Parts: sequence; C-alpha cells; structure tokens
Amino acid sequence: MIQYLASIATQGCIFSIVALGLNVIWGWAGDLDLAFYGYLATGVYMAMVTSIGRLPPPTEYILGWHLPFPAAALIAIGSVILLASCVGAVALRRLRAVYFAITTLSAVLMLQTFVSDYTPLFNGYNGLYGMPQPFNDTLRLSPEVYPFFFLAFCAGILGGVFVVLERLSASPFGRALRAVREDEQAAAAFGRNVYGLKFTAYALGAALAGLGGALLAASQGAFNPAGWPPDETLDLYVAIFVGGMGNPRGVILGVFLVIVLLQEAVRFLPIVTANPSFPAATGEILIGLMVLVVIRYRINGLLPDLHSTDTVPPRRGAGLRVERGEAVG
Amino acid sequence: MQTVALGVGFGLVTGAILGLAAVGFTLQYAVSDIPNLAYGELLTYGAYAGYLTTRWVHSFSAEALAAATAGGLVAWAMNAGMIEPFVRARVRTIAIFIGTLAVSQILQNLLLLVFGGANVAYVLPPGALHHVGPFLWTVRDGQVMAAAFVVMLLVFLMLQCTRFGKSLRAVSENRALARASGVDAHRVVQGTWFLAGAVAGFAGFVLAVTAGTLTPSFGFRFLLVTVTGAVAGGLGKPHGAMAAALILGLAMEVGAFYVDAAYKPLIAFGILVLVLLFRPDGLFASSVGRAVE
Repeated sequence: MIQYLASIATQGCIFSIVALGLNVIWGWAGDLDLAFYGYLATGVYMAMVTSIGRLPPPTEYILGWHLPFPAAALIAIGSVILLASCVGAVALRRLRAVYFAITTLSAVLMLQTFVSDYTPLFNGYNGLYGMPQPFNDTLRLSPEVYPFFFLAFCAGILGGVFVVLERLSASPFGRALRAVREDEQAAAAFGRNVYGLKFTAYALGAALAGLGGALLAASQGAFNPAGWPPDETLDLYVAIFVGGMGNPRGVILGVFLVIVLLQEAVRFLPIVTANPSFPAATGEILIGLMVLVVIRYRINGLLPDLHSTDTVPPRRGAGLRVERGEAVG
Repeated sequence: MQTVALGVGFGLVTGAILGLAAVGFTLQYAVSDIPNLAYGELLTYGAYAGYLTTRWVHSFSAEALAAATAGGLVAWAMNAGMIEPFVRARVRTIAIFIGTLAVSQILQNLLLLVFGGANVAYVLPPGALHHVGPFLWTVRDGQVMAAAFVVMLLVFLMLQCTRFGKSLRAVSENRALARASGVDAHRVVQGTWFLAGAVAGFAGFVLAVTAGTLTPSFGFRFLLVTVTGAVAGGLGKPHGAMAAALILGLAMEVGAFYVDAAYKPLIAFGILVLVLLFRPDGLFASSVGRAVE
C-alpha cells in the first residue's frame, strides 16, 4: 500500500513539473498549445535512447548510448527545446490564437504518426523498454527502498522548478508575458517584443516537458506510442484550470487533484461491463465534463493567479469585441 | 506516368471524401467563428450509425441516410447544448475552442464505453475493378465519388440558390448585420450545424466503408487532414474548402507513390505549414489577411 502511494506521489510530482511547463505557455503567455504531450513524449524517448544502451534485436532505435541519468536528462531537455523551437518558429509567428492551436495539434498528430511508423527512430509501435533506475548502480538500494529515494528525488526537482518559476512569475519577464497574454497590441505598443517573449516562454515550457519526460522515463521504464495519445494534453489543461491558471501553486494542486486523484479513483469503479476500456473511458468523460463546467462558469480555480486581470469581464463595448472574435472575459 | 495516373485516380476518391469533410467543418466555422475540434467525432458517429444500420438492412442509401442523420443530430445537439449557451454566457472564443476538444473527448469515450476500442470491420464489397481512361477504380470507388460529388453539388446549389444559403452567407459575413436585416440568425446557425453535421456523418460513412475498419478514434485521426483542407481553402469559405480538399487529396495520394503510404498525414501537415506560412487565408484568398494579426 505504501509502495502504491509512493508511486502515485511520484507520478504527481512528475506531472506537476510537466503541467508547470504548460502553465508557462498557456497560463502566462496565453498560447493554446496542443502539441505539449508530444514534447513530453520526446523527452521520454530521448532520455531512454541515451541511457538504455543496445537492446537485443529486433528492436531498433537511434543512438543507444549508456549515459548516466543527468546527462540523459540534459540531452532530453535539449532535444525537446530544439523540437519546440522548430514548431514555435512556425506556429508563433503572426498567427492568430486559433491557428496556433490548429498548427500545434497537427504537429503532435504528425509526430505521433512518424514515431509510430518509422521504426528506426524509436522502435515504432512497440516502443522502448529497459530504462535503468537513475543513480541506483552507485546507490544499490533495494527494490523496497528505491521508490522512496526516487520520490524524494522527483519532489526535490519539483521544488527547484517551483522556486525558479515563482521567481520568474514575479519578475519583469513574467509580467511582460502576462501583458502579452492580456493584449498583444498594447504590449507591443509599450515596446515589448511580443514574438521574442512568446518564443522564450514556449521554449521554457517545452524544456520542462523534456525534464518531466526524462523523469517519466525513469519511473515507467518502458514507453510506446500508445502511452501518449495527443488528446491527453487536455488533462493537463484541466489540471491548470482547476488549480488556478497562471499560479504555480494552483497548478501543482490541480495536478494532484485531477490527474492523480481522479485517475486513481476511477480504477476503483465497480466493473459493470466486460469492456476493458471502461475505467479509462469514464475518467476521460469526467475530465471532459469538468473542462466544460470550468469554462462555462468561468471558474478561476482553487488558487487563482493574483497577478491576473483576466477575471474581470469588460462590460462596455463587449458586443463589438464579440464580432471580432476576440477575448471577452 | 502510369503510376501518376493511378495516384490521381485514388486522389480523386480521397479528395471527394475530404471535400465533404472539409465543407462541413468550414460551414460550422463560417456561422459560429469557432473551429470545432469535435468535428471528427461527427464522422465517427455517422460511420457507427451506418454500421449499426447493417444489422437490419444492407443498402448503400439506407446506411448513408442513417449516417447523415446521426451526424446532423449530434452536431445540432452540440451547438444547442454547448456552443450557443457558452457564447451567450460570453465565454471567450479560445475557451469555447478548448471546450470543443472536451466534447470530442466525451463523445469519443462514450463510443469506447459502448463499442470498446477494438477495430470493427465495416466493408462494402469493393466490386469489380474498372479501367476508366487511365484510372483504375472499383465499383465502390465509383459509388463513393458519385455520392460525394452529388452531395457537394447539392451543398453548392443550396448555398448559391436558396434563401437559406443566402442567409447562411449573410450570417457568416456579419451576424449582427444579418440580424438587423431581418435574418433569423439563430435558426440559420442551428440549421447550418445540422447540415454540416449531416455532411460530416455522410463523409464518415464513406470514409469508413472505403477504409474497411472503424474505431472510436477514427474520426479524430481524420481531423488533421480535414482541418488542413478547410484552412487551405480559407476557413469559413465552403467553395474554397471543396477545391482545396480536392487538391489536398490528389497531393496526398500522388505523394503516397513516392513515400510510404503511412506518411500521408505528413504530406498533409507539410501542406498545412506551407499554407499557414505563405497563404494564411487560404490558397484562393484575394483580400487582406484575417489569420494574421
């Protein structure tokens, strides 16, 4: 039981890091990125191919190095930043919000097709396995103790990420991003480099997905394309909505409530059908309904972002803004 | 040369199906200004409705009708139950857009609950192969193309010649102005969603019988190419969507002779990126951009 709780808590920490990354892109910069799960997956894959060495055939994949975990994680983060820069360079440039979302959604669907079908990259549909436990070749902890060490390790990294993001949130960079989110033209008129800010935020958010991916690789040990349906990016958005968009504390709370608690709770649903997809599908439906409720009643989350001004709907001139398809509170 | 002709032949079939799907997507965008990410599920529901019909009757027209009705009803319900109340509550466009993704999840997982995730075989007998000029088509391909082009022609005529089509175009241009000129915008929007859903359901049906299998995520997988077609034609412009979808279908199928067929979506994505970079208002746009700030 306590092992089970430790594994859940580890998942929570990892997904908190990932959701904090998305929060930089969506919560601060206001870009609706639907490719985010692709960055997480890229992080997982890159961490694996740089640390699992050579698996016996018929598995085939690139690199096949045997690096220690920190090096693998750095390579994972670097490759994710590279990928996100390519996507961001196309998608962030000049495009209206909705087109940005469409482009990123296409990018992730394409990435998944490519990774699934092109076996020499990451062994296609069958995926990779055999990820060694980080640091355990020197620590030599027993299987009963190691999960707690790894939990502490993930929690420590989450703590570090949290502190950095809190500082960034209050920094001129964080304020400038929020200004861009609220009104790009106004921010540009005040001399902000809108594209540069958005691009930096995008790369930073993706880097956190890469970091989370490396940790996820270590915690799961195996990974294949079925493990990252692109629509699961939605789960991260729900976590951000429920916890409080823009606020790192809120995001972490949201992840533990939505992703951890809800996903684990549906496992204990009484099995009423022989359908093996029943618990997962029920969970997804609940998450979908939650999104609708949150956006319909404009709930600001449990821990709203105090820096945000987005919560006060403009009353006067609202009709005009609707016609332009623009933001209305 | 022979292979190119074959590719063009398949491309016309793909393009016809894609044209249908893209027209429905673009019509919904035209009247509501929201790209509907749950659009793929309309195809899926149409296809499953056609599949269920085969329990009682086996006929192309009955299955097609069931598919169109199912797609139309789901789309109508989605507009009445989610889009319109959300717009009335002044939810931000981008938030409604996320909401459509949530609806997509809900619809997809409801199917998963009912039918499970396994592939369902849904095959119309392909019939004999025929050489038509340089092209090679089965009887089923011919049926699919004929049906698709008839439906597209009907949509085209409806847009151009009927009062409803005129109102639809007016609402799409400027809803407030249309309302001020006496158009019942509410009913036009509802009608358009039903119509677009019916077209989508039908497209899902022909897509399913051409592919031969069906899963709850089948429509979502097709969403990328649908959106590419609609964006390449200029979002909200049905005529552009039809033309662009045909071009896209041809490009994908001819391209598939040179790269692995599994990478067809990559061709679509490449085209989408190029269009967004160089012609963000669609291939046939003439005026100043709307996609660009």
